[in-house]
Amino acid sequence: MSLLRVENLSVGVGKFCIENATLDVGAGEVVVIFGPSGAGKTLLLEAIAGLHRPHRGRILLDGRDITALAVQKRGFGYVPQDYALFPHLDVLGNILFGVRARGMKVRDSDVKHLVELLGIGHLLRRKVWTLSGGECQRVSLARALIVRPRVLLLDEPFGALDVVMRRKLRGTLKKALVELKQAALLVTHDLEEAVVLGRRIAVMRQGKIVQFASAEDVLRMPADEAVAQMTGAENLLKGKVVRLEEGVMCVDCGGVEVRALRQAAVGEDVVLLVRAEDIVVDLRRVEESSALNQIGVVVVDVRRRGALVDVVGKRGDLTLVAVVTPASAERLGLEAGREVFFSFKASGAHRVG
Amino acid sequence: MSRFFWLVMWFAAGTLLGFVVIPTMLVIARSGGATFQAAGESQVLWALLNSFICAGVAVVLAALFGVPLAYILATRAIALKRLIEALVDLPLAVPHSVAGIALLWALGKPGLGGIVGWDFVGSYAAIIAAMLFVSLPYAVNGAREGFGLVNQRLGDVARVLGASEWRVFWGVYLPIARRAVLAGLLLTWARAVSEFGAVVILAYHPMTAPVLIWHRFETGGLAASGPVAALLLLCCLGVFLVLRLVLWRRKPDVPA
Repeated sequence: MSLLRVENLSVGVGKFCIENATLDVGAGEVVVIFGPSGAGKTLLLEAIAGLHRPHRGRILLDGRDITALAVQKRGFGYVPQDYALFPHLDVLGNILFGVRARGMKVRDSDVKHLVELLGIGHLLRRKVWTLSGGECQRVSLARALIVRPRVLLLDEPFGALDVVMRRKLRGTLKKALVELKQAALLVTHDLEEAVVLGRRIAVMRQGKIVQFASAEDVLRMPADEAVAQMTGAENLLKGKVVRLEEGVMCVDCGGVEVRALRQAAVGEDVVLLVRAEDIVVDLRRVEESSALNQIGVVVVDVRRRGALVDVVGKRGDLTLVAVVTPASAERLGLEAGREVFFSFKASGAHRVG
Repeated sequence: MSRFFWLVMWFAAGTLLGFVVIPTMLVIARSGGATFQAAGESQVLWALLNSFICAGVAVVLAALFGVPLAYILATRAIALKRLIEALVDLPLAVPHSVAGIALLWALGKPGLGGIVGWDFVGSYAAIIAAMLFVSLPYAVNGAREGFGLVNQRLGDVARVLGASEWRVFWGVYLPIARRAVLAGLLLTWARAVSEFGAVVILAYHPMTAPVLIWHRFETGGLAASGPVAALLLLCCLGVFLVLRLVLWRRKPDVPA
């Protein structure tokens, strides 16, 4: 049984509405609500917290209906986007706020362990406005974790931080959640964050959860084109199934035949997703290969993307993007105008939708 | 151009400050030693005491009833909010003699006083009611602005962490908005002490300091009223300065 279950939840603020949101969080599991700005992620999180009254649907905690339960009695922890530290309290006062509000007893050793786990042991007597963004984030996290919440609710917890601090604190958060076996529901618009932290991801768009699946499935088998684009799909190939072979369908994509696992009938229009990292770049055709797709392309662009290099190849109307390391790009002499082969397995081409 | 701009600004500011400071200083300077003689008169001391104590009670009442109203206005999405805010500001717009007459109708013989057989006119309660009526906008507006500046997310976090509405008020909103609330109450006290129009209609006796000043002006002119006026002014300035220093002396908990 799920620890937290949200069933067909509909909630609105002003003219914006979330409709029929359904998701669940298991014990010790981290579930991510992922989507672009304005998708309704924060509203959903706040409704689960009890800050907005839903007009339909149920929220169950340990099987108990808490939809109408007062926000104070739900037993959640909350880390909002702006951390919302109490400016009139010092760091320790902030951390212990929930403990005092709930009349809980915590051992000094528990507090010490938590603040050391989060690396804020030296800040306890500091005023909160003297803290850096990263320190504020960790204090806010400690304040939410010290009450031993049934589910920790995190709203874009790294949203206000720079990339370096974001990566560092992501590791800190993950370590804390694992060590404390803490169930969490985290809102983010950052795909990397969603994949690193979430075991399962609920993808939201325009007030609806359009896909709720494991992080792997969301990346490999997005529910639709929009989800594929949101999850950074580089290659979305539109075509028509022209032939079926043993377990495989042949799809005509702009004059190029692409083989994918059989997921449609002949004559059907399909969209295939091929992840750039699933494409192997070769200088010549490999005769004995398990990859059913070996497409000769002309390199039209080679561009740096972070630590990797995107290689854009074109054949006819078909454009494909592969990703290689800078070392590979240099070794293969990849540059615009070069003819290469892009290879990928039929199982690496997934039908979208 | 920049220099000319600041010259104009400082001229305007200086003129206004002079408009306040010069007459105030003149009251004290012209009265001279007579001010200290007035301080020895029991009638004057009683009038000052009446003013200060009644204003203090009015401030307590304004805090007890006005701060909750301010909290509601600042934190809740309620119907007719603008109308309620306008009603709070009404005493600022109403001439104070009108306020006195209104209170007379409501609490005197024609109103509640007549129903319960209570002689409202000429009582301390009448003075306090008059002071409260004209000064409550300062208490409510000061607190409302203070509560309004508190990030509502703080209340949300406190509630999710288990804080009751009482704790959210006492433990989050009030400490953060404390300075604004106290500043509002200080203005409330100052306004209450200085009230004349409404008080004189409801209670000529027991005399408050402004009523006594008026009484002496009517009977003895400037020479009789000036020293009492100077004494009231000095007392008010003293209390005002002390309270301001006490309130603002501590290092703020919340950065400005």
